[in-house]
Amino acid sequence: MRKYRMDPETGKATFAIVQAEDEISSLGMVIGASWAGARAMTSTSGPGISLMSEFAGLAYYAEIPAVIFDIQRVGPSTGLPTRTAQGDVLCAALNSHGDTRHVVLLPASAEECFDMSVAAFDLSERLQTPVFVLSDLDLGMNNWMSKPFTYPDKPFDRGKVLDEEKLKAIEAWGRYKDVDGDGVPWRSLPGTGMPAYFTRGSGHNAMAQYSEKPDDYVKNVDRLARKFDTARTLVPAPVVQRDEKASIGIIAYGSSHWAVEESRDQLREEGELATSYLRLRGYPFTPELDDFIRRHDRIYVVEQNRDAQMLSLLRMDTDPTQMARLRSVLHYNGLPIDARSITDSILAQEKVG
Amino acid sequence: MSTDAPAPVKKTNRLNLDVTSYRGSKTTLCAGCGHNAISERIIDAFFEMGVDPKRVIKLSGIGCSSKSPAYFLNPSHGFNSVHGRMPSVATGAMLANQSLLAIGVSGDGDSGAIGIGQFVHSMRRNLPLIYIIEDNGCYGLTKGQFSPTADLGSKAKNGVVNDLPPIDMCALAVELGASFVARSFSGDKKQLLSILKAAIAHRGTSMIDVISPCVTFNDHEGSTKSYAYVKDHEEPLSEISFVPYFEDISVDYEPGAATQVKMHDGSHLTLRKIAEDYNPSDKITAMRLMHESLRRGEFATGVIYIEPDKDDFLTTLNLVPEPLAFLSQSRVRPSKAVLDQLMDSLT
Amino acid sequence: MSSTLPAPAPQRTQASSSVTNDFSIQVATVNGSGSQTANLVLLRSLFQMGIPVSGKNLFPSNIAGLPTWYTIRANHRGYIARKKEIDFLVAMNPETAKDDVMSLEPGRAVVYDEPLKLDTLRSDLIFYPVPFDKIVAEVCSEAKLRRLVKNMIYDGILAELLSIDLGEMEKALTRQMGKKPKALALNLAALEGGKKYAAEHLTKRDPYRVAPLDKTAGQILVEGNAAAAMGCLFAGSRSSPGTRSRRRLRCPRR
Repeated sequence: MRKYRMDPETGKATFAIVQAEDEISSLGMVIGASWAGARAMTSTSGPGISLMSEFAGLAYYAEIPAVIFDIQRVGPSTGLPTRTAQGDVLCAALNSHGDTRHVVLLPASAEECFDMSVAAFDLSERLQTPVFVLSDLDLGMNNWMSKPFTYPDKPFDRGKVLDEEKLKAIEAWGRYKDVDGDGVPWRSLPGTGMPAYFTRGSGHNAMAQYSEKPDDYVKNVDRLARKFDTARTLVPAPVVQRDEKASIGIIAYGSSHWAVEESRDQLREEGELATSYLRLRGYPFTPELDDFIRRHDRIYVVEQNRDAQMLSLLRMDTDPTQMARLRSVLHYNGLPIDARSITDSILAQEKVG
Repeated sequence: MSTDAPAPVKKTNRLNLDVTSYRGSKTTLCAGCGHNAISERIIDAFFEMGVDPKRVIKLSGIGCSSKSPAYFLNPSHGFNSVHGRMPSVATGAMLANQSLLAIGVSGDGDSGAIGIGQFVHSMRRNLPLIYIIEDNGCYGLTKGQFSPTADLGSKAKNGVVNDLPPIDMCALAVELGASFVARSFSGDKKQLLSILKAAIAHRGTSMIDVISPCVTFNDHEGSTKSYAYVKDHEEPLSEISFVPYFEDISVDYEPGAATQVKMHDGSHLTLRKIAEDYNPSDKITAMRLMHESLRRGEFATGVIYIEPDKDDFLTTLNLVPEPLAFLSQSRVRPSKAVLDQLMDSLT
Repeated sequence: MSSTLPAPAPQRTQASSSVTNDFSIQVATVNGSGSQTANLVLLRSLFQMGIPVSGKNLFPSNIAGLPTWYTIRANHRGYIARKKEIDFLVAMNPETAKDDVMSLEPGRAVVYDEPLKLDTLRSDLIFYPVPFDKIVAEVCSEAKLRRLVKNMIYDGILAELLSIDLGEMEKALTRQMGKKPKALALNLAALEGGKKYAAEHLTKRDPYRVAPLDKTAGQILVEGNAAAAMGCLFAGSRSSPGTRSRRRLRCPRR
């Protein structure tokens, strides 16, 4: 950072890096900075995500951008701090008490770590909500081959920030008013001369006033659900490789991708089993998911955790009538998943029927 | 001749604003609550100092004290965060925009219990922030349990006696390197107002512990934070007078009897000694004074410690003067050449 | 050995036939012993030869002294996920050596520190004993520095056994240590010492080898966290509070 973000004229920094005393404080700082209009991020792994729960809920409910990287490692608790896993899926997606849903990005390669990092800030500010980027130890701390990264020449999307012009255009602006129908309101930043409002984690109405009224509460959280639907149109879509002959599908995400690719070749060459493959890249789920599940007799959800967390999330958020098609391929010993384990598991489950 | 009496001229400050621009919504706290008096003083201080409300941010945690930012400075953006975590949010906000003036309101529970960790680290960092602890020795919002600043031996309304020693938030702040530490009393209008004005002028964390009696749960016989008790046991360390930089008043004082402090913005703070050995520039003296008055069951009030020229957190980060939040894309996104260079180094 | 064209996808065959650009090497060492450099040089030299590779660290939750394993996979079809089986073991850690050897499938190869006498454990593996201490004493006169260059010897051994282009190894090493001429010289000597020893004393009996390919042209080698950090940099991130994350995003952290 010091090399590339010093202002050439003054030699001063256009960034601030702070060593926070704990993860609660670090997310608090991210939220404070974002609230005041600066792009901010923090990174952690499992235990930190647990600590950040309360603030994650505040950022969701009060609608403040935040980018949080989770370099997943084996849990629960201190777990195996130097081993890899994909066990924070549910925690990240639902982080906090009450009805909370977060946007989650799932990079599978070094290149996606770069691209999704850039995208996370745009998404977070566009949607005014936290974005969790779920990487893992295998992806994060090992050396990966990659094609060189592409320079992001799309301008920053700072989202809906109130200015003079917009203020005039909106009738009676309120911080949580859905003027555009997408569930995303317009926010005013302190120190810009735009009208002030009170940010709070307690119940509020569209004007950001404290409210305990049942209607106000329901309207507000329904709008947050609508916002999550808008997120569906903005998160990275899954990558689908369809084999027309295949009656079996594989769903996977993150660094499992490489083993899945190899396994598909093994299944075809050794087991004469054709498979289609959907690689998840973001949450909330997009319409491709329902479509993919419907087209195949059996779907194997490959993941590196014991409790089939992604499958569980699919069960929660996709067509419930199709859930019987879903099965699991689970790998959770802390070593990066390998193709042979996937192949053996699928072949065994296919034999049984 | 007109029989209408001329309308009284509203007093305006140097920004041509009158005091209504500094008010907030109507309080929903109990009548007689100390916090209401503090809100009034905040309004007065910001008005008299001619601060532009649009550049102020007011933050709080959770509790009765933390509700109070709604009752002052309506034109300012507010952030009522989560219990004990106001400092981190304030830190982030100030990093994003150092031209803002931040005032954080907390309580003895919010800062002394759950928030003690963030309190400690924020004192160390010396972030430009007016940090007010509205101290009533109890958890008012949840019906009056003892807080960490409740004195040993003090009695709750239901008769329970506190058997844990209190945390002296001011002593802790001095120990941790805070650059401005003061204690006051919601009932002492003059002193509190001067302290608040000095805090506005200070560049760094101004930690102000204001004893603010809870009329509902901690204002009875046996409480050491009741109006009656505090009035009787308050020990001002000095007489405080404050002259803002934009006022041209010269203050006469006998040399040796007063400490003259020049604030970062050029304002003058005069502290005329009352307590013997009072030396607000010396940490050890400050600690001793606080401990000794505590031993006597008294509250030392006033400016306890001040270090006006200590580097604040933002200065040490060597940031560009413009708020980070409003820097243009070209200033924060490195060029393609930089990416190419990085890629080359990894090929 | 002459370089031949890469053989088409070989499966698990007998030791007599060749397995080119399709194996995993596992180096078992001790955390903090300087194996990181040797492992990265090995990884890079294969990458520079145009062979798709991955390198995976399995490190303990400790700063120094506990076992660590580095696994490199080379695969001409571009498979870079972890391979379940280890084909070529370099056993440098006495503490784990026995378990490391016992976990191998039959027909695999083991390079090991001669005094460990691992060849007594099994008869169905191909053993290459190497007197590391003797070799390092020959290439490094200063006893205090030997510990730091000892691991580079196995890179030389592997270069000989697997037909890895020594020039690429030297290039990779220079890239790591270019700014420290004395360390570079010592490590180069260790590399050459290892190769020389293998050429003069070891008879190749395992099927594994590499041959140049052209499948990595224009690519980079990078850690995911570094990539993410660069993403933040180019996304104009202004504020980055971090915590006790020694091993997390390095670049804009701290």
